[in-house]
Amino acid sequence: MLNYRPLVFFWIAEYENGTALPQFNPNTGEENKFSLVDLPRVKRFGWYPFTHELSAKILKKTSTVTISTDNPSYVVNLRKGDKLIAKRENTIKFNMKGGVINRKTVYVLGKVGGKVLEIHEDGELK
Amino acid sequence: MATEDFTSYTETDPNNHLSQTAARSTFSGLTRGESCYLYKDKGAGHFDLSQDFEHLFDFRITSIADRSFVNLWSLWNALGDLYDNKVVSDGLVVLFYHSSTSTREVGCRIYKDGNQYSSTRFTISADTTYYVKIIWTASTNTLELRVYTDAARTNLLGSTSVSQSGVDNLRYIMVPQSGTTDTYVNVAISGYVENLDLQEVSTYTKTWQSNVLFKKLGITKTAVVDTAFKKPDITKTLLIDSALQKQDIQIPKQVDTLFKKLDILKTFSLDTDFLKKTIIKSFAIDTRFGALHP
Repeated sequence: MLNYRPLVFFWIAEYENGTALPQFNPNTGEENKFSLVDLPRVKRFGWYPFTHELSAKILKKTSTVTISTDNPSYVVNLRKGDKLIAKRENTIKFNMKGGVINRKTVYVLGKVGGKVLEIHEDGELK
Repeated sequence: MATEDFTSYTETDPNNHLSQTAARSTFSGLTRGESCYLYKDKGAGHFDLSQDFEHLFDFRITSIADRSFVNLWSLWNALGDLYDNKVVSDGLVVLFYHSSTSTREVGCRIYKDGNQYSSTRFTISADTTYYVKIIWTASTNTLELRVYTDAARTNLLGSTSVSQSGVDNLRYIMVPQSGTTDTYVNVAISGYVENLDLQEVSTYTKTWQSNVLFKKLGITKTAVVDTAFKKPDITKTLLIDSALQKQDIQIPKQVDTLFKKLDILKTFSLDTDFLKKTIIKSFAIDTRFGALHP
């Protein structure tokens, strides 16, 4: 049994100069840390569903399980000075004996002072 | 592989001891009494120490004095000379030092939480061009310095290394960087570093051309729109409210009407039934009694 919630979305940060940094390298499946994102230069940031191909590469490279879906993508456009809000919120419910009843992850996206989306694993918004 | 363009780097140079061309960063009369460095901000965590990397550069020391010192190459999370930075930032360093025994030495260091971890140093000559390969090995947290005497990097003059775990990912690259002290403040050094190649494309492509990336991932970029952000909340709330309001009104009405109808029918049918039973029962008894008592 997995001791973590498989990812159903991954992030891509697009910069003002036409380049982009993906959470997972589509060639190798290697993961880039979020700390690598040069936030002041980001013009678009989004949560994207995994393709079968990318999920397979990530599993092979890092043994990390991800789930490919036909979920929609969600992106936020950022202007100079906007502060991005992008995170995963994980919830775990335990029963009285300490066993896990369920886990879920909500993918959060928005910017400070603006609308903030809470995207569920089924791709629906809260 | 593309080499770094030093004209895009930024100087901190109070005494005008630095100059650059695209390929070469020159220091002339750099002393240990000044805070002087040329740097590039590569972005937070750019130098990811969880990944292996190799940097290449060439250097030549053209003029030295006893106890003169320079960091030929260094990575930091803070801006300052060596002695400012080492107390506030983790760092990786390749240094040149003219020691008290008048030997010219190169070595490397790791700075972690204010502590200095040094490799052994080996001797080189002045007025000679050397070709350097710096290797960071993530699995062993090792910084290795290799110095070659040819551009193809086949004739190894010497190598040295140092290891330390837990070093932060780093942001700034400095070529060169001075190291201030309270002593030997006027000893000077001159030389240059050139053809700095971070080899970032060959080791691991982190950043993609946006269109290439989306094509590779099979995502139609134009179809990805921020519609979720464009939908105004107020309209949605109004729509939901009015829909619910309609349902609230209609449902009670329908239910009321239905129950009303049912009530009438039920009462009517029951009454009739009981009425019939009563009549029939009475009739039967009466007949029986009538028969017994003619």
